[in-house]
Amino acid sequence: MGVMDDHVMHVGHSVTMRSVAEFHASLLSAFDQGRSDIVLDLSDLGELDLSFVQIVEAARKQIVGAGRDIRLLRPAAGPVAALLMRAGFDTDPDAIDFWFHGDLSA
Amino acid sequence: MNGQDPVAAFRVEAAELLDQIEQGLLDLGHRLDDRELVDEVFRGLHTLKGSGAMFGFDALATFTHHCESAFDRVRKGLVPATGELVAVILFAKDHMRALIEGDGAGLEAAGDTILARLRAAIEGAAGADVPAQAAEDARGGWRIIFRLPPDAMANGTNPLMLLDELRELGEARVVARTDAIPPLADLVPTRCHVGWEVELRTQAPKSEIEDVFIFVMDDMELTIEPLASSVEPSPAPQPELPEVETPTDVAAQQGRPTARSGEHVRVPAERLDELMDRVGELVIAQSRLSQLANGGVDVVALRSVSEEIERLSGELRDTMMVLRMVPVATLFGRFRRLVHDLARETGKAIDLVTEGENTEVDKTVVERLADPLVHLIRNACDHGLEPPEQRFAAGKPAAGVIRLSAHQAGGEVVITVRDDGRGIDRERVRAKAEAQGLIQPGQPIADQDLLQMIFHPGFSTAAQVTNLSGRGVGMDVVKRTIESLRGSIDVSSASGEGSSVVLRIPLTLAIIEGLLVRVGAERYVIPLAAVEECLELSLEEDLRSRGRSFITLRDRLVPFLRLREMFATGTRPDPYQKIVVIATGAERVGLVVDQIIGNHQTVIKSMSPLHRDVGTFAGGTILGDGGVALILDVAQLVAIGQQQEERLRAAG
Repeated sequence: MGVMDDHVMHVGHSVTMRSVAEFHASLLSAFDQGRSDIVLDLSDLGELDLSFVQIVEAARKQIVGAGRDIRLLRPAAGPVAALLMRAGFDTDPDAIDFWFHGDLSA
Repeated sequence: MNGQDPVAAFRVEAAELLDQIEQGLLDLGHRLDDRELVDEVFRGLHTLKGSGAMFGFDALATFTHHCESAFDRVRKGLVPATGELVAVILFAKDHMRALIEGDGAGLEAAGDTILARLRAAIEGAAGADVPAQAAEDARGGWRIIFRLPPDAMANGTNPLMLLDELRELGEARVVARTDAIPPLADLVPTRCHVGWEVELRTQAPKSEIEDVFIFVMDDMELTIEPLASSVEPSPAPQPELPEVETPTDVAAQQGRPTARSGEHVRVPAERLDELMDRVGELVIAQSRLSQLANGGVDVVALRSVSEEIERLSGELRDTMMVLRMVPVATLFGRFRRLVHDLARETGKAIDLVTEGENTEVDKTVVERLADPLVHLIRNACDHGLEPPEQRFAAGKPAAGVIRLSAHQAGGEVVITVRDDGRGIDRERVRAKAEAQGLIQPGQPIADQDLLQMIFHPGFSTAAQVTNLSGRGVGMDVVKRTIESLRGSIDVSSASGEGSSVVLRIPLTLAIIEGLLVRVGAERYVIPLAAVEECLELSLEEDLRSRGRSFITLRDRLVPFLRLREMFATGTRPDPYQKIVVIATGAERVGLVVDQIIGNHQTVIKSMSPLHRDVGTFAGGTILGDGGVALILDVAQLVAIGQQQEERLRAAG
């Protein structure tokens, strides 16, 4: 699957309880557009809380069975990785696959 | 004035909550299966926990939480309410009060003791069906599975902080559970759907883990179980029943909160509205007055304004006085607990009947009446009421009745403590009075005077001093307290039928009717209620009584005090001196003054801290001409007069 076909979604600097509704709306519209995979680019995301992780997990559920996929452009790092570890998303193999592309040591 | 302090407001509210909880518990003690009472107590504890946490009383919140969870099991029908459980929660309630009033320092041990007893009571109540919480100290750690209430994040709880707190307790493996997260389309992104499973390797007891969740615990799903692999099959460690301190000891230990952060009175809004109305009218009257002052002098109009202001200030005073009034129910309510405890201690069945709880008394009076009434009720329970067998033998119902009533009579509140016990043993009073040299052996004495003997210092007719009586205040202190409130105390008793003590207290301490007198160049106020009569002291009588300072009043010798000498005015006596005879109870004393001016509505101003120790004066007031008059302390002066009498008697 070439990157060209994917819908790369650039996530802004901040997704927290306060702004998660906006992010929800843009995710939903990405779902409505086309049939390509959704790729999240988290390189700018610096401010986040549990609501971000939760909404991405919800998106993963939504996409199952739609013949599409959602994934991260690059494995989580920096503040995103720190939050994931704090919240316990670094223990389950499925979570490690998705969020860290299978490699926690990075 | 700092009326906005939320912590102070919380303290007031918490005190009311605690009273409510206490009443609920006491009722529950009588009707152990009353579901509504159980719910009521539970709600009270729950609210206390919540608002305690909100105002930073963490120790209180934690402690209350444990009581609440224990009580929750009763509410859910898992364990029945028992007398023991109610008693323990009453102790716990006292502890909560201490936590609210103090800073909680040094109370942890007492709290732990109560909690241990609470656990024992719950287990005792549950019998064998409830698994003893043997696993309290699982060695290896805990498996904690929890899911927060959905609105937790919206309410400001950060689940990650909870996880951080758990990590602080030991090595934790945290697994987020995403199975309950709905698909994106159905998601409300601000609700929390993530659950967690935490394996925590720690030595910390279960309670410490529960404490992490204390503020969200009510609606969340939480299971805490020992890590299966590491549980040792140890015998259930039965929590030892520690000696639990009695509430009085606890109170003594923390040394009664000394620095009370000001008093608070709750005032019904309509009373404030009334006050506001009057103030509004006063402002109108004032503007009319300034108009008059600026225009020509219109005597008729001036008089009408003056009358208007007089009426208003009178009404303002009445309204203001009412603001400080609280129903005695707040006071009487406390005694239900006292009687409950006394009944347990003495093994007697005691019913407390209260009447006239809606009678209103000045807030300060209510506070100061508490200790004397405690003593009177203790006396009645301990000495007055007979043990059930004796009551039965005397043909009385097994349960003794203490009747506490209040009603208003004129400007006084009359409070009566009555028991249906054996009555005061006059023979024993007499023997004791003779032993103390208060009366001569065989000296005839009026019945009323004999009964008054019990108010002498060091007088106790109890053959044996029990745990209850014989400590704390004596009847003499009771009497002194009542007199300091400008009240009076009377006792009556019928053998075999019981005794009653009647307290008469003025409605308010702020304003009194006084008799204005002059001594030398100064004016003084004598509380009118204490004045018995006024006589003239003629010059020759004055000369005749020099050095004796006694007058014969209807065949009784009454000592008198020359205020002119006492206050060292350095003036010559008025040719027509007067004696004002004042009395407290049966003791009277005459005060020699230069002139009686008349009666005077006296607004009492308290003495400055510098002068507070001057015994002879109870306060000061401002007169109509702007001058100052001191108010004489009747009880003190009578005491001085009595000493004088005793000295004279001793001299022969």
